[in-house]
Amino acid sequence: MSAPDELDESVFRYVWRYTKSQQLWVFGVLAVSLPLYYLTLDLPKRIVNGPISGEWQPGQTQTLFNFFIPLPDFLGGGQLHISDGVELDRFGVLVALSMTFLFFVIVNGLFKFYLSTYKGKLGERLLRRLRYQLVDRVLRFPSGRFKQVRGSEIASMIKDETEPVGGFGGSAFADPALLLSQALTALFFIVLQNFWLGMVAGAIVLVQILLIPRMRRRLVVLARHRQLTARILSGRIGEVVEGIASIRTNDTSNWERAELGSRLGKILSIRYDFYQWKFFVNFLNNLIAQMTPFIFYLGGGYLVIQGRLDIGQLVAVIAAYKDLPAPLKELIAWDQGRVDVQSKYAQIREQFVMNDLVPSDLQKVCFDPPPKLDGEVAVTNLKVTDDSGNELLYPTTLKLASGEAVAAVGPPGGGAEYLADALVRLVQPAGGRIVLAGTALDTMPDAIPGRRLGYSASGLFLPQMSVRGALTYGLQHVPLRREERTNAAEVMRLEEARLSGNIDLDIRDDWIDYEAAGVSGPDTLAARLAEVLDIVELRSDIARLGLRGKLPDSLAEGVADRILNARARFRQLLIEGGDEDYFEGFDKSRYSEYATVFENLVFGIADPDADAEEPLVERASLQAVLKTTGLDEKLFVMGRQIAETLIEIFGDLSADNPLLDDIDLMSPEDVDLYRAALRRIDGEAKRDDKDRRAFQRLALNYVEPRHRLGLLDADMQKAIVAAREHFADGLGPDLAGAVFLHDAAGINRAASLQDNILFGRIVSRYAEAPGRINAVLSETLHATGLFKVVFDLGLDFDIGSGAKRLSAGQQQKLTLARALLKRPDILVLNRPLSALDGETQRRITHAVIEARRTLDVPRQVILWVLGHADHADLFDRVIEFREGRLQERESQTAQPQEVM
Amino acid sequence: MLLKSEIDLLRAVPLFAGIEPSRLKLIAYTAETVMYREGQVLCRQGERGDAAFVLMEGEADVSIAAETGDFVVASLKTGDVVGEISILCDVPRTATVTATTKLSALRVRKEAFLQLVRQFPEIATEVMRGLAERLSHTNAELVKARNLAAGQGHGQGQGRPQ
Repeated sequence: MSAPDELDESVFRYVWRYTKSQQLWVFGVLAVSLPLYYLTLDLPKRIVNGPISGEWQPGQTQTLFNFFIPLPDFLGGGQLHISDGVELDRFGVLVALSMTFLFFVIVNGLFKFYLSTYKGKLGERLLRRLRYQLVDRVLRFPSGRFKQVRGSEIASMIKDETEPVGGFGGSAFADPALLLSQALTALFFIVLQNFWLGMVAGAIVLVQILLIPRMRRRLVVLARHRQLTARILSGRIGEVVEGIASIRTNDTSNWERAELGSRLGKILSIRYDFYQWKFFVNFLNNLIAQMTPFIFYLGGGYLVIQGRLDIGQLVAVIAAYKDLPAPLKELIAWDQGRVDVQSKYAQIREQFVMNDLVPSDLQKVCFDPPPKLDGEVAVTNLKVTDDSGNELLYPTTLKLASGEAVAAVGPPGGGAEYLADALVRLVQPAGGRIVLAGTALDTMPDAIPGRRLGYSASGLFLPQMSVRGALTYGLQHVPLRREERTNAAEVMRLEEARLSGNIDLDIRDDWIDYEAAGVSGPDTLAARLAEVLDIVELRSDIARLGLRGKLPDSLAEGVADRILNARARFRQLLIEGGDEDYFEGFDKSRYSEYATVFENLVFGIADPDADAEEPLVERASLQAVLKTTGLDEKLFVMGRQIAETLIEIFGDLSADNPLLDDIDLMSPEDVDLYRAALRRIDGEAKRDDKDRRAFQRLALNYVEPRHRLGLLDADMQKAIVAAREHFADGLGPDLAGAVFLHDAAGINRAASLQDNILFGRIVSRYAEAPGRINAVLSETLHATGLFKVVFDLGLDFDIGSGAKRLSAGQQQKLTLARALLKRPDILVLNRPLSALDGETQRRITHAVIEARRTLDVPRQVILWVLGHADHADLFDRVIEFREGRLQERESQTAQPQEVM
Repeated sequence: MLLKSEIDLLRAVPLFAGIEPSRLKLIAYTAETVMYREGQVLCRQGERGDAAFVLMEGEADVSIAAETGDFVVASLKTGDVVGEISILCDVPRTATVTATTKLSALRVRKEAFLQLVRQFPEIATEVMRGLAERLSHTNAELVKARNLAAGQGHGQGQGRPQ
C-alpha cells in the first residue's frame, strides 16, 4: 500500500485504490456466472419447444449432452469430443432437461449468494477502513482544529454519513458493468430484428440515461443540504447535552426548543422538497419507459401493414424490449446512489482533508522506550498567538535546569499557561523554539513528549473508565506484554485488520508500561498507585469508594472469607473497646431497630433500582407473605398512622417549603396523593388495593429511631421477625434479584464492603457512634489486611462519563496523579489544583516536589503554573508573567535567564 | 425517645413556649435525637457549626478556652438551648459544650433552624429575646469583670456557674 491514509477526491478512485484486486475478482466471478445465467433463461424455451410442445414420433429419441469443442483449422479442424451424450426418449428428455434446469438454477443461486456475500464483505471492509481513516485523522488533527469542530458532528460524520459508502463499495464497478451488459444485449437484439425500431429504442434509452440523471442533480443538491442540516442538528444536540447547566440556570430551555424545532422544520422542508422531486422524476422515468411500446405498436404496426416488417419480428422486438427497462431502471438507480455517495463522500472528505494534519510518522507505533530527556529545557523567543494573530505570549526566552522546580506565577491569561501548553505541544508556537535536552521539540515524534513529559491542568477531560484505568492511561502507549494467541479467531482478526488497513495491535493485551512507573509488573503496580494517590491526597477517597461502593459481580478468591473474618474481628474489637451499644448487629432472631421494617421483614436489603422498576410492595410474593402472616392489615394500619401524622405536620406547608425535604418517607409530591388516599379510606368507601399498598409502603420504610412515631411495639416486631421464615426458604421469582438476604455466614452481594464487614447498623442516636464505628472499622481493616482489597475495589470504581462521579477536586487530583505515575523527565502543570482550597493546594504542591525523591526521579524538571502566588516559596525559582510578558523578578536563586 | 415526649419537652422550653403544637411537631420531626456519654463533646469552640441543640435529658457545661485554660461560663440543664449563635450568624462555635452527665439532646440542623426562624416570626422573636437576655447577662458579667480587674489587678476568674 503506497499511501495507506489517502482519501481520494473521487469516491471511485478511493474504492478502486483499496479494493482493486477484489473488484477484479468480482468481475471474474461475474464473467463465469453470466453464461450460466443465460442458460437458465434459455433452457425453459428448449423444454417447452422440445419435449412438451415439439412434435415427437412414438419411439423417437434424442441425443443430449454430446459436448464437443470445435478445433480451429491450424490444429487440423474437426472436433474434440468430450462426451458422446446419451440417447433419451421424450419423457427422458423432459426429465433430463428439467433436471439440468434445476441444476443451473441452484448453481446460479449459489453464484448469486457468493457474489452478494462477497460484495457485502468488501463493502463492510471498505467502511471499516474509511471510518478508521477518519478516526485516525481526528487523532491527527492539528490542535487548533479542535476549537472549530463539535464532537457530536464528527461522530455523526464518522458513524452515520459513511454508512452508504460501504454499501456502495461492493457495487461501484461490478453492478454497472453487469447491468450495462444486460441492457446492451437487449438493445442489440432489437437492432438485429429491425434497425429502425432499434434506433428508436436506443434514442429513448439515450434520453432516459441523459435526462433523468440530469434532473436528479437537484436531488443531490437537496441531499447534501439535508446532510449538512442533519449534521449541524446532531452538533447542536451535543451542545444541549454539554451545556445543560447553562440552559437550566438561564431558563433557555424554550429557546433551545424553538431553535431545535426550527432546525427540524428546515430538515422537514428539505426532505419534503426532496421527496416531491424524487417521485416526479420517477414518474417521468416510468412514463418514458412505458411509452416506448406505444411507439413500437404504432410505428411497428405501420411497418407491418406496409409489409416492410414481418409480424414475428415485431413480436420479437416487443419481447426483447421487455428485458430492457429492468436493467435500465437499476442502472439509473445505481447512478442515483453513486451521485448520493459521491456527494456524501465529498462532504466528509472536505472536513477531514487538511494540509496541516499531524504527519502519521510522528504517531508511529514505537516499542522502544524513547530516550530520557536528561538535560535543560531551553525556550528561545517563544511566541504564542491566538487565531487572529494577537500575541498571547510575547517572545520569551528562558531555561529550566535539570532537576529544577520552577513556579510560574501571574494572573490567569498572563502568559504562563501558554508557555506550559507550548511545552507539551498543546499549542503551536507562532515563533521561536523549544529545545528539550538538546532536541528540538517540534520535530520529535509523539512518543518522546508523550512518554517523557507529564502534564496536568484544571478541567482535563477524563473518559469513562475505572480509577485504575484513568491512572494508568498515561502508561499505555503500546502493548508491551502481549498474550500469545494463535487460534483461528486471532488469525482472522489480524487478517481483517490488515484487509481494512486498521492498526493490528490488540486492545486486550497489557499495554501498561510498568517500567515507566518504576515497578516490575502488575503485582507491584497497586503499591505505586497507592503512592501517587497518597501524594495528591486522594488515596483515602479511593479507599472510601471501595468501602462504600457496591461489591463487584465477582470477588477474587478468598476475599469472601476474609470479609467474613473481618466481620468477626470487627465485633471483637468493638466489644474490647466497650462500644457495643454504638452498634446493632443483624440477628436472624431479633428485630433490628435501625433497619427499615422491610429490611427486617425479609432480613436482607433491596436493590434500589429494583424498587424503581416495580415497587417491591406491589410484587406478588411479598403480598402473599403479608397475607399469610396477617401483617397485611397491621402494616396498612401503621402506614395510615404514619400518613396521618406526616400530613398533620407537613400538610399545611406550601409545596415549595424546603422543610418538606425532611419527610424522607414521602416525597413532597406524594403529600397530596396520600391526603386523597386518607380521605378515600375515611369515607369508608371500598378500600382500594392500590391505596392499601401505598400505605403499606410507608410502613415498610419506617425506622423507629429515625421517625420516632412510636408505632412499633414488641408484638409487631415479633410478628415481623417471625415472617422472615417465609423468605428464608427462597425468594419468589419476582423478588429474586431485587432482594438480597443477610447471611451471618456469607456475603451480601448487593451491600457494600463496609456493610458486609459491619453486618449491622450504627446506633446513630449516639452522636459519637459513627465516628467511633469508623475508627473501629479502620482498625479492623488494618488488622485483617483488607485494606488492599478495599483499595483494589476503589481502583475498580467507575468514574462515570467525563468523571462526573468524582468531584472537581478529585478529578484534578486524579489527573495530577496520572502525570506523576509515569515519572516524567519534565512535569508541566497548568494550575492543576484550582478546585482545591489554598491549604490543600500547598500541601499537595509540596508533596509533589518532594515526591521526586521517593519516585526516584531526582532530575525531574517541574514547571508549575501556580494559581496561588503564595505557594511560590516552595519552589527553587519563581518566574512571573504579566500581560503575556515574562517579568524580571527577584527569586530564590538567580535571574531567570541566567540560571544554569 | 418518641416524638410525643419530645414535643412535651419542647413545650417546656421558653424558646418554643409560645409556638402552637403543630409547629412544635414540625420542629421535633425535622430534628434528631442524639445521645452523649459523660464527657463527650456536643460542639467544640472554633469548629463550624451546623446545628443547634435543645437539651432533653442530662446536663452539660459551656466552656471557653483562655490562655490559662478552659473556664466554664455556663452550665446547661434540661430544656436549655445551645449552639444557635454560630448557625445564626455563620461564625465558628464560640464555646465548647461538654456533657457532664449522660445526655440526650434534640439536634436541630442549621437549615431547618433557619427555615423555622424565617417562616415563623414567633420563633424569631423568641430567639431574639433569648440572645438579648444573654447579651445583657454578658454585659453585666463584663462590667463585673472590669471592676474586678481594676480593683484586684487580675481578670481571670474560676469557672462560675451562671
